[in-house]
Amino acid sequence: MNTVFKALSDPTRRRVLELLRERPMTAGELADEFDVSKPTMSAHFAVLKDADLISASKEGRTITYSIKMSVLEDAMLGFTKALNLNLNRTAPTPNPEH
Amino acid sequence: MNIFAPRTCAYALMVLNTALAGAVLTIEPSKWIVIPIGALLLPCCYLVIRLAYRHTDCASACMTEIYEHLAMGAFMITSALAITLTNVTGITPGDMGPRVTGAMLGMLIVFFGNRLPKQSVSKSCPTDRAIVAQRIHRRAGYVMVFAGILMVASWIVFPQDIAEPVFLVVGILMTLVVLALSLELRTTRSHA
Repeated sequence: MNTVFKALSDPTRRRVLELLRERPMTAGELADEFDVSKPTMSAHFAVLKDADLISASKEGRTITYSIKMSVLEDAMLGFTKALNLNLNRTAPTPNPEH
Repeated sequence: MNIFAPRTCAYALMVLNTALAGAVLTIEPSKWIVIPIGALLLPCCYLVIRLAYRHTDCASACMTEIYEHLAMGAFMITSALAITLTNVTGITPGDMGPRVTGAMLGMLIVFFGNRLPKQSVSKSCPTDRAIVAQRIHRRAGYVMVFAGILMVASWIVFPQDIAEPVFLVVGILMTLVVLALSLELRTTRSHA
């Protein structure tokens, strides 16, 4: 559960989950939605996968991500969004470039 | 390998275990029938979903589910025996058995409803169908979680003669809503 809280603590990761809730998207499509580098996005994806909130399927060189959230996790995402919680003050966003 | 059959077996085992637990718990024939009927609702929902669009997940995940259900059934029967023992010895009041079983069934529905949106969609499923399937999994999951919470609450709050019909009505409504959602999938296409 700790990994889920960690995953939901970041606004970028929450936005990724909201996008994936609409439809499965490729890594490139998701990266285009954010003004961050691709390695940073990969780190975000790794955190979300580690929390078992998304699943990845690889076809050739394309990785497609799909949502994999339980009702409780979905409610937690909605809750954090509704309250606009930024729980990430003490947990910095992973950045593999540094 | 067709893994649909083992899944059905898993749910059948769960029904059997839950029904047995209910039968052990409640001695009066007019009362114990309520519990297995309630126990059937959850697997019915699952079977409707499975039959509606026949997802196939990996076989190992299916086996894990079977083991989980067996463990849960064993837990329920052990709990039922323990509660029956406390009833016989007079430690707990007479209606504690049905109450605990009803609440456990509610929690079971919450547990499986919570996990429902996490079920992966088959890779062979076309993308537009997969999107709709995922959406309906989520809605059905929410319905089951709320229904389960209502069931648990009814057994905790109301006297037994009110809790039983509430339990059944909520369960039947939940089944109908999940059925309607599943049927919606058969006719809806994603516009995403």
